[in-house]
Amino acid sequence: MSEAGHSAPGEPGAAVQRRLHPLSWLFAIGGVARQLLLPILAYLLLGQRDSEWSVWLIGPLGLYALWAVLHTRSFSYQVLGSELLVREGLLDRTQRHIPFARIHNISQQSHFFHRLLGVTVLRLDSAAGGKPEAVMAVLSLAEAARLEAVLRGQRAEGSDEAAPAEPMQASQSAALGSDSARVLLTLPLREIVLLGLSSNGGMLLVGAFFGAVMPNDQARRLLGQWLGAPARALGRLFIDDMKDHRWLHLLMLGLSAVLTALLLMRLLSVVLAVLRYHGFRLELQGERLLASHGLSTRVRAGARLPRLQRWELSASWLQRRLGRCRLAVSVAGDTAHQESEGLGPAGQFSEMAPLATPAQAQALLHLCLPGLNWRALAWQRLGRPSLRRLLYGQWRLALPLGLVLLMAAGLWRDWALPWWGIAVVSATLLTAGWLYARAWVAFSAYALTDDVLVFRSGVFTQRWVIVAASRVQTLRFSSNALDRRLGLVHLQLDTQGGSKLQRALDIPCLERAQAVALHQRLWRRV
Amino acid sequence: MDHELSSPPVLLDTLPELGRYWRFRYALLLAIPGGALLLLHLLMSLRRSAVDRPVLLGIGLAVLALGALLGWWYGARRHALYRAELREQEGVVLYDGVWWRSEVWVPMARLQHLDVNQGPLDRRWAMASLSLHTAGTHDHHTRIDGLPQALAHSLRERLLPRHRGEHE
Repeated sequence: MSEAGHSAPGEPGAAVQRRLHPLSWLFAIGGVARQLLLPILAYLLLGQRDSEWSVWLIGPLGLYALWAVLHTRSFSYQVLGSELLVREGLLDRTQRHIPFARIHNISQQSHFFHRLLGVTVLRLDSAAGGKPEAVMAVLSLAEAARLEAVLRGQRAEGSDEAAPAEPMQASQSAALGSDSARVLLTLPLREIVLLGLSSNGGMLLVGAFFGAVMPNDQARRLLGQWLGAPARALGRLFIDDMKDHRWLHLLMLGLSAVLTALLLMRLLSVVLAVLRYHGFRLELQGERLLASHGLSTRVRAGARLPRLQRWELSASWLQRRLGRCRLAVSVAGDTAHQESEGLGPAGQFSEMAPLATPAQAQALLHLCLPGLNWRALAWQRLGRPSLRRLLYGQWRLALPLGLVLLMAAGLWRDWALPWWGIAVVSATLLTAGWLYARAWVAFSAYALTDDVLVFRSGVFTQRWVIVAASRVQTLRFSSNALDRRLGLVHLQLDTQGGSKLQRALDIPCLERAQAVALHQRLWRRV
Repeated sequence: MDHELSSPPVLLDTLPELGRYWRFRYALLLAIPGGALLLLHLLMSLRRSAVDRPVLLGIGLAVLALGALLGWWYGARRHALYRAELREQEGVVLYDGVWWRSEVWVPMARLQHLDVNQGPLDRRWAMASLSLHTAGTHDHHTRIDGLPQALAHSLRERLLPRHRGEHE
């Protein structure tokens, strides 16, 4: 690490060593306090059994606060020519030189309190992904905007030579000329409410809540105290109805309970959607896509167009009724740690449109992939044996399960179901499985243009996965004994970024000849 | 997928020692359940349990033999089906698997770095495995086992990415 930067600044005035916002220490302490909030709340609400406990906590907390203050004081940064020099650390001091060309993503995140005080967290990511290059918590809004502008201004020049053979070159260089942002998509409140209604955010939140509360003994007791009385009252009502044989009343009660729960969930989803997506705005700035959204926590995340790897258009049953869909995207270097919608990791660009009409989504896709003409796609259906493959696959799982159930019924003779009951249940399940498989095969198809492979599938939620052949990292064909018997094969493609749990694209049940044809065309483009 | 591409594939021969190693490895692995039954029998005979021990001994021996035979067959079969091909200027293809078969095509232009690994047995047999790493998320690591040491090193030299920054 050289200190030469001090004596040879790239531009006058830029080489001033700057520090974080004077209030940074407040947020450093706040971060710790938030993690301790739940135990402290539970402690306060459940009564002071031994109050000495809190005295013991003051010492370490005070020390930590002192450390946080000193640490934020020690953080400084400096713009040197075409790189950013970051110094941090109290005992072991680190100096990091970050060339502008290495910074691939700049994102801002500001919580409610950040916005109250007019500050923001600036995060710089490199192409490698994983740990960010630098996290600046916190900067004033003006300083963050200035730094972002400096980094961006340099980035545009450095990036072009790094990516000479991108398919969207023409549109990029045209767009690069104009520095002003072009708004691609905004979501008015009505759309956000629709988004909430058609999503499962509420259910996920309730699940996450129980997941957090149940392992904690004190929190669980607290929850029991709150929910105990209404749950008992409802239970008594049910039992009374059963004793008095008021079946109609019982039915109505059960139905209304389920409906109320569903309604509450949807309401919670709407609230969540408004909190997360309020003021959603997707902009194109040069070759960079920028999405900003959020009511209490304002997130601003971006990605350069050439770094987009895989697009996924999805539409649930309800969204199709509303004439809407969702366009998600994965960016090279970003690894999705949390998959579920609404719980994306902070500062990562993962959604181009949380909710859009199909026409809007197609326009966005066209912007990213000019070679893709959605209307002119020649869809090819999957192989004929794929229905049989799906059914055998279902039976392979259902048969052992059924045998286990029959054995269980045989062991507990008192509980044994009547034979016609078993027959009706299995016939219903088999029919449902057959209908599902038929619907899946009827919708599934793939299309390959010069550079883009699209695969659509799904029954209740339909998905279109779009991968550019030039972004494919490896091609994989896999088959099990059943596939080979039916002459089928899976095609699996891997790209950068995205989820570790699933491949970028997985086309099951391709006929051998189809797979060969696809492979020939893809391999040439990779 | 066998079809005509611009360059003919060059088969990368794996050593017969790899087959031997796999036969022993899978035979030992699948012999574990039988071994556990025999251990149970031993423990019971030490504690003079009332369970019918000769039957347990018989079952244990049968499971052991069956598992070892199955493992032996599986190792031999996997080695017979295991195949790596080099396509000049294009990439590497690896065929692997017995019941679940896979065929991985790694393009040369996507290679990030390559490793040659050797375990203690590999060193004894002058064998090495070549790991191909791409920037992908899911299948970013492909390993070719059982290559002669010299071939692994020369392959590594030939496949080494030279034009960095060629793609995003």
